[in-house]
Amino acid sequence: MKFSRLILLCCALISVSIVPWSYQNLSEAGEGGSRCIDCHTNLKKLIRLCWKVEALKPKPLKSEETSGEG
Amino acid sequence: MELYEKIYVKPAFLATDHGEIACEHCHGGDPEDDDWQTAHKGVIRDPTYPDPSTACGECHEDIVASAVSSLHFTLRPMKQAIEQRAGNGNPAALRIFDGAINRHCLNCHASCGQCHVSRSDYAAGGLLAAHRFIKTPSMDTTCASCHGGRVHGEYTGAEDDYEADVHYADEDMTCMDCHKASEMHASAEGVKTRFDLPERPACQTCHPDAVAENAAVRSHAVHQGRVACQVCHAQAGKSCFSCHVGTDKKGLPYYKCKETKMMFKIGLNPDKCTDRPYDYVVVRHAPVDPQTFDAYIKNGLKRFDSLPTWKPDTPHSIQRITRQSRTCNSCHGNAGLFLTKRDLAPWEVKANVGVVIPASRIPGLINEGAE
Repeated sequence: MKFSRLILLCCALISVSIVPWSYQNLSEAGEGGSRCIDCHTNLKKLIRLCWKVEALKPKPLKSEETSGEG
Repeated sequence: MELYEKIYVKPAFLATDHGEIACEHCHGGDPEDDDWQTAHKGVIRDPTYPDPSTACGECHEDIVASAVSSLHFTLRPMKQAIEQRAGNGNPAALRIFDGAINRHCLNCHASCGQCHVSRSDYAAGGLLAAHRFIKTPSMDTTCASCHGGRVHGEYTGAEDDYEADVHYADEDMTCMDCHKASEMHASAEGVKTRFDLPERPACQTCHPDAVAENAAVRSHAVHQGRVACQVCHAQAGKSCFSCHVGTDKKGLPYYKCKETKMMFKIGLNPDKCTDRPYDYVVVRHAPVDPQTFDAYIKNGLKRFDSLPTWKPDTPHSIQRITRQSRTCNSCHGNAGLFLTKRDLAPWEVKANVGVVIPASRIPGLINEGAE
């Protein structure tokens, strides 16, 4: 009986320690202050930023001399 | 695709295994910087090309080890063919060719990311599914972005006057049903053409009866080992003629392809081997001609004749019954199906000596009544 209680306690301790660890891992990419995520997951923000990008860096041109199937 | 669509990341991606990796780990840049312009300094758009060992190799070491020398990653046979035609005696000329190949041809390569995460550079990029990693890429979006000019159209029946491939029309099969990951990721070291790759698809994998010793279908028994499957079962494929590349006045690369047409031609097999012992194979015309790279180096393809311009082909337009297999004499005695000297331009006669079928080897009419 004592042995099974000990196992239960160990399991509980392990799961309690895993939750914040995995949350921390996720937040590294997601919510940990990454400006990449702030912009790239926010459509409205991204559309406005893309207007600025396109004004500064027009789309790459393709040669008008290209003809026929590629 | 609009720019924002190309770079939008769905929040759900962050809950995936790959989404747990910090952006800058693969892409670089400064995730703390509030100014988007300086934050993107040093950002790597495709961290999987030319070296995927960090972005992919940390977890997928085995796949990356072979994939970096795969056909899709390197386009090795095409580069080798151009170098062979150029001759290997002049390192300075080879360097010029390498530059031209990089500029005009190798933008069709496929990196890990350009199959599993984004569209290809050739298709102007853009995330496939808001940065979700797609294990089995989509035929229409991913494969067709590079193979849309020829294979995809043949396969889906987009070409006028030709039916879609039966594997697509009746069985809903996609590219990846035959071209498995093992083939896509296989090393192409030492491979001369895609037909040399041991992992390539083979008809008999699904149709073992067709090559069985006592094949039930008489024409299978008669032609076995001598005629490639496609000779009877493929419809026409696309041939291209005289593609020239260069740089325009604005400094932009261009190509000019003189002619493209759907054709069906049977030629001699120039590369017989145990796996492909056939005498007769389907051939298509490659877009190269002696002046293809003249904008870079005049008459630079010194050994142009060292490879045929009509190459063995496997058109993706398979039907059980085709125009040439309706009856025995749909093919036998039908000289127009066979590649002869009359089909060649004067400048390519020498190059195709091993492929052109002499009149004596065009199978004659047979008495079908007596068969």
